[in-house]
Amino acid sequence: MILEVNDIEKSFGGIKALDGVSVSIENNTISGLIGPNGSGKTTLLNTVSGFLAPDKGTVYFGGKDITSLPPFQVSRLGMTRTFQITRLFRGMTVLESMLLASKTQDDGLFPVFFNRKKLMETERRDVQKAVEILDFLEIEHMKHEYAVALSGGQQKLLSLGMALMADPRMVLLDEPVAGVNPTLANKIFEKVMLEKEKRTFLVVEHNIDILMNFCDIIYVMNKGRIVASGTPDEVQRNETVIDVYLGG
Amino acid sequence: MFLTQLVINSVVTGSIYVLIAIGLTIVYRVLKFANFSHAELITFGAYMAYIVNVSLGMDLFYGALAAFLLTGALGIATDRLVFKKLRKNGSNVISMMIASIGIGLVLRQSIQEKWGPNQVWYDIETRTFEIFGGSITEMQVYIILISIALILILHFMFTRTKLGKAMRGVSDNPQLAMASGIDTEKILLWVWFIGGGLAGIGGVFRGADTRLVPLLGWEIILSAFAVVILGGIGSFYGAIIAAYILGFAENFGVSILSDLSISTGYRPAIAFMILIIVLIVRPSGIMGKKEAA
Repeated sequence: MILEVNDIEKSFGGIKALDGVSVSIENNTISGLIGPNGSGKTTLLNTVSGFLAPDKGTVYFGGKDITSLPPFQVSRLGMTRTFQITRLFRGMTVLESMLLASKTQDDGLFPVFFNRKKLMETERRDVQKAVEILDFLEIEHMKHEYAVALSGGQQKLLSLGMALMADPRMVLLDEPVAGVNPTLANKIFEKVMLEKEKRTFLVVEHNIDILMNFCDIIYVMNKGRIVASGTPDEVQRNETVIDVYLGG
Repeated sequence: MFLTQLVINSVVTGSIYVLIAIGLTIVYRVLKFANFSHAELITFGAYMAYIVNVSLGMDLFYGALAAFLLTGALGIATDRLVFKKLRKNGSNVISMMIASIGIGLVLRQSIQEKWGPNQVWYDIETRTFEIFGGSITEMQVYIILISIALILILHFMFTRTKLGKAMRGVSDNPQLAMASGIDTEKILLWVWFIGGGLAGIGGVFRGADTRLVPLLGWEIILSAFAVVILGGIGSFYGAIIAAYILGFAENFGVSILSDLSISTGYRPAIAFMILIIVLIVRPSGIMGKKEAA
């Protein structure tokens, strides 16, 4: 198990956004997380990635307790994420954004003065890696454009690229194909499939058809709880799931 | 030549404004509030250099160095003691701004308690050079050269170092920066250190070019705000251009005022005349919107 979420609770005011959620995710799988709006999917992602501290429960990542670590530490431990509403560095080019998402350089100013040679070497390797990823995602030709100049679909690809840049063991994707045309949506998931042998994915997505095609396991949330889980086939036949989506 | 002198004075004025405005703008860019206590960081820096230069009898160069380091540290201290706590509480930018005015008041009064309300001077030699019919002091040459050097260093930092890019990232989209593994609180420390340090150096320049009074920072902070808005709020390069524009506008403006027999007491108003015109004609400032760093 690479990710183990145990009995997480999170309330906002009087509302329980997460009401005892437990999830176990195996290495090198793609897991889908579905559920109606407000069912707690993004809250779960935010809690796992450190953006929200849970009121109760634990999160283990690769056997390490990451329950209340800040987001940057979770990211440095090898779990990166994208956001539902695509977040970009507006003032930066595609390549600059990618480089900022790498974790090989230190934040301080001292290496600039005292360790320039090593710095130049890592910079060169980072650029090479960024270009490879951009090439893989088919947006390499846009590398010198400002991130905001990309189309909506390309921005989604860049977000994915930034999440991959740190060579993470696990990636959380929050609606990676929302608002993207079906052809490109499939392409994005095909890219994720190709990465599966190297890492693990947890994907929140409203496009259930696409999840059914690409996921190994699907979790269904409703009102802050996991109400069903299983292979796409199992979930599709599950009565509760049909209720959640059709009967509410 | 009178014109040469005006140009020299303008460049000196611009060089004093530029570091102060850059400090103000990088703090604004990341924290999104107008930090009025920047005025007292300027004054604090000037007096720190006074201790080194006059009380300890060392060269003003060391005074400027001390001003940079100590004012940077004071910037960090104001953040840790006040602004960070407000951030954690989710206070809005207006509360932050009001708090900064409060911090400024306390600092200003403390400086006045320590050094008194009267003006004091650095212990510096005033060699004067003649160029193209104008005169410039040795100190003014240093002010211009050090400003340019610091601008180049900052440009290098923002464009070439991970720290500078991380600062841009944090100001651009803090959530994404965190998700990218950037320790935003650590970056904020650097922002305050560099922003405060630049204010401190600016204070030393102003003190060396005129004199030291507890209101030193307050006298120029509004011009610095004008520079920041003129350049496009949060724009590094815009602030640089705007600082020199304002330097020229104030000096030439004063010359025109006296030719027209109007009181030169209107000098501080010139910045705002320009500011208002720019806001009407080009609300986002010279380098607003499209600018990156």
